[in-house]
Amino acid sequence: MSALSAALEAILFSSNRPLKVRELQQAIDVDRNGVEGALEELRETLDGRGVMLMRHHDEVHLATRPEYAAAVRRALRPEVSGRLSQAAYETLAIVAYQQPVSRARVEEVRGVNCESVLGNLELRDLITEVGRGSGPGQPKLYGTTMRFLQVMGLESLDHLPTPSDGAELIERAKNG
Amino acid sequence: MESAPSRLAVTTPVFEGPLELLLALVEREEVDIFKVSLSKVTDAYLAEIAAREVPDPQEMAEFLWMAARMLLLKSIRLLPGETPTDEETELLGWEDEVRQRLEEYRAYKEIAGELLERAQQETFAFPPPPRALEAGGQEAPLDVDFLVEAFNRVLARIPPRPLVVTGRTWTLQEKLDLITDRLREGPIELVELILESEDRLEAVVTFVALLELVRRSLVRVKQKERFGPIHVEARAQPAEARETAT
Repeated sequence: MSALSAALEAILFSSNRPLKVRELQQAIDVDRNGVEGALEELRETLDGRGVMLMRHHDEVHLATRPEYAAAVRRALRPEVSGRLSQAAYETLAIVAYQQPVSRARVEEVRGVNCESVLGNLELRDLITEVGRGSGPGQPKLYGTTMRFLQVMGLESLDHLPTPSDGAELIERAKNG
Repeated sequence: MESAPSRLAVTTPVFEGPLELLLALVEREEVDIFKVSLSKVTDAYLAEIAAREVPDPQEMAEFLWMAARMLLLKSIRLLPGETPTDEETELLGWEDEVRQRLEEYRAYKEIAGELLERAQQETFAFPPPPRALEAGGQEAPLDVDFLVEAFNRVLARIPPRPLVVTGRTWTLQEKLDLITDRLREGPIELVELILESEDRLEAVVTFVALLELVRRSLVRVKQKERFGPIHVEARAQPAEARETAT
């Protein structure tokens, strides 16, 4: 592994929070492409190891691989947060695939009011406001968080499960 | 095990909206969503909404709106051969639209199912824990100010008491007992506890009860990292502590 990748690994290992690519850029003093290259190298190096490089949009962090969650749990007994309702999972799925997405759009898909369930997911730091829509009232737009990836044990949003069919439908919704 | 009903974890097989009910009925018919005629499931739909207990008027209106359109659609289908009026043409278009929405909803439900499965397998990816690189992160004792701040953040999420008062009033002692009971099963997250409240008054009583327990040194409040979840746990001193509590 190159010195650059190793430096990134050291930084991410000691960081309590996800870091933005820009922050890494400043820390190791290379340009954007340099950091992206080094991150890719780190990601490949970690293949097959107990920790992985986790990526959420512009943020990266290290995390244990979901395959070893049970072992980590047995060893350290971390506290678990409460279970989510079916409604919460449906809402999470819609936000994950359609982000940035407004409450109106989520409600259109589910056909019910989603105000409280969105509020609850936001409170749990699984989704967050990522911007404002251009429509009337400039509605809040929601997106997922790094914590969402952690809770679901996903390396990145590219690793989201895909539906057996209807994938096309979702793809369409994503692009327009 | 008896715990207060949580407003957030609805696990009863009650359908949350017309779309969800419709999807369940269509799937029961085991036909392609794009081929099913909504008039086929109209009767089942009506039976289901008639069986709902104590309907919430606003919610019921949504179910009824869908029912009305389905009935109209069914009546059109029963009288084939006639040239559809403008309204009927619109309604047939509506059926297509509903089919598309059902298909989309079904796809998301499936993903939701997979996310749920992942979560149940507990495939958590643990981030590095807070460590002593700097002064961040703390274990108990936690400043009460943090509690109050957390409480205020959650309070805004709880609706004010509805105009029709059907809820119960809680006394401090009842909440004290309830929380003490719950803590015997393990730590509770502060936010979860407060969010179980039906209205703000109950949230306040819960919070005051919690402060009282802290004052009596019956519970400990912990926060592992700044801005992280705040956990409440019973202090290990069972017999004697119970006496002071009652």
